[in-house]
Amino acid sequence: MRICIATSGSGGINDFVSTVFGRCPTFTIVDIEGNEIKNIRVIQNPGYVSGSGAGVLAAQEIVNEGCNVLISGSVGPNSYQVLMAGHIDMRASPPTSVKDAINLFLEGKLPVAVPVHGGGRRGMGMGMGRGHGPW
Amino acid sequence: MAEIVVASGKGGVGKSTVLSSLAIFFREKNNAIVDGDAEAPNLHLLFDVEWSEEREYRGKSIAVIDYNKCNLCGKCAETCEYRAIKLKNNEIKILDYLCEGCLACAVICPERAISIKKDVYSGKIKIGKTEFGPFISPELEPGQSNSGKLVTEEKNIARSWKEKGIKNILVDSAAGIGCQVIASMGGSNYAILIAEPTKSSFSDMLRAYELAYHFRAKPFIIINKHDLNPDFDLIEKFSKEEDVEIIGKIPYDKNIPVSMAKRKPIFMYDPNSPSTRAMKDFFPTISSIFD
Repeated sequence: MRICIATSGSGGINDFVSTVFGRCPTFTIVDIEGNEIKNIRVIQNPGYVSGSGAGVLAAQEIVNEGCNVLISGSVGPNSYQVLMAGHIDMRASPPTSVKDAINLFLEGKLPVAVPVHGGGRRGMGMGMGRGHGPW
Repeated sequence: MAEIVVASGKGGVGKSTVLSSLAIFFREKNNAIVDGDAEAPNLHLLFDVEWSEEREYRGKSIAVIDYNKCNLCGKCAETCEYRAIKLKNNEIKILDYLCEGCLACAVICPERAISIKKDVYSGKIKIGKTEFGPFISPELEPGQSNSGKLVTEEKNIARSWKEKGIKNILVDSAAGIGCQVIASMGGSNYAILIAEPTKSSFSDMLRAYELAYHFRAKPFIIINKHDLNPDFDLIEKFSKEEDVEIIGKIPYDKNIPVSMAKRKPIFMYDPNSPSTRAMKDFFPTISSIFD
């Protein structure tokens, strides 16, 4: 399983999870084998330097990198569509270290980034224990 | 550090009026004020800004023709969706202000004569101060529309002031839910959504709400000019169903356009006008969102 973490600095296992996806500077990509973190690498997010269309560019990059899971503080509407089409499991994390976020994910403690709500209307409603936190 | 964005979807419903009032009412909270409307920045008109610095902004990509390779076949001009390439009298040229840097011409060119030049000068970020805190405003060159990055850069400047004691960032977002509004919302903790009691404003507010939802910014609603359509109850229904708090209602106030014409925030122009009094009444209920 390959996990991409949207990181807020220069990336790596000790960097922190970014509050945004499309315009975070770096992606830290790891492979999970068994329960071990392997092949840690950092790539630049093409969306960070793009004038517009950041979310789409960033999401395409994650799909191209063959990631299965994305961990980010949030996922915007445009990247959401690309990542959905790419069957990426999007998870929301507080701005903890990459290491902590991966562990939280492996423990099943990271909620889906954009919960789907009743009535078939994506993004509406505040149920499902989502709890808007100021993070 | 708390980031608070004022958004609405629909334009002209009172974003800048509310934001300027927040900046004045909460002036002791060490706020930085950011105009997030890169395409039509106008918040500085309300504040007496003392400009101190300008930073270059480079964001646009444009196509460039290598005339040594070009054989004037004109395929690029046919392909360009933006009509940014003109072929006339055996002369071909790219109109920079129309070019979006989309690459279509470079792909179609049989001579490989077109390349994309990145990070072209696109405008500037202006930094100044007001009596209510430091102020950041964008200024794009004519024809430049790539503005999400610009808004992000503005916000990053404000974020870097944390060490200087800035505790909150107030972002006046553009209308709509496009690139620059997404950039305004991204990373925000709170979204104050302004709506008028009309169907079009309500519908647009829902779209702004959805953005706030994506970016996990806690939303609040303010109804502006609520007394003009008192029977309109869709916003209240939405508020109950979705558990989004309506923090206050502002009455129609004919002093607001007058204050704008005088280039003064309504809070300064007339501290006793109906809208100012209403805001003074309910603003304390959100003082806890400020750091």
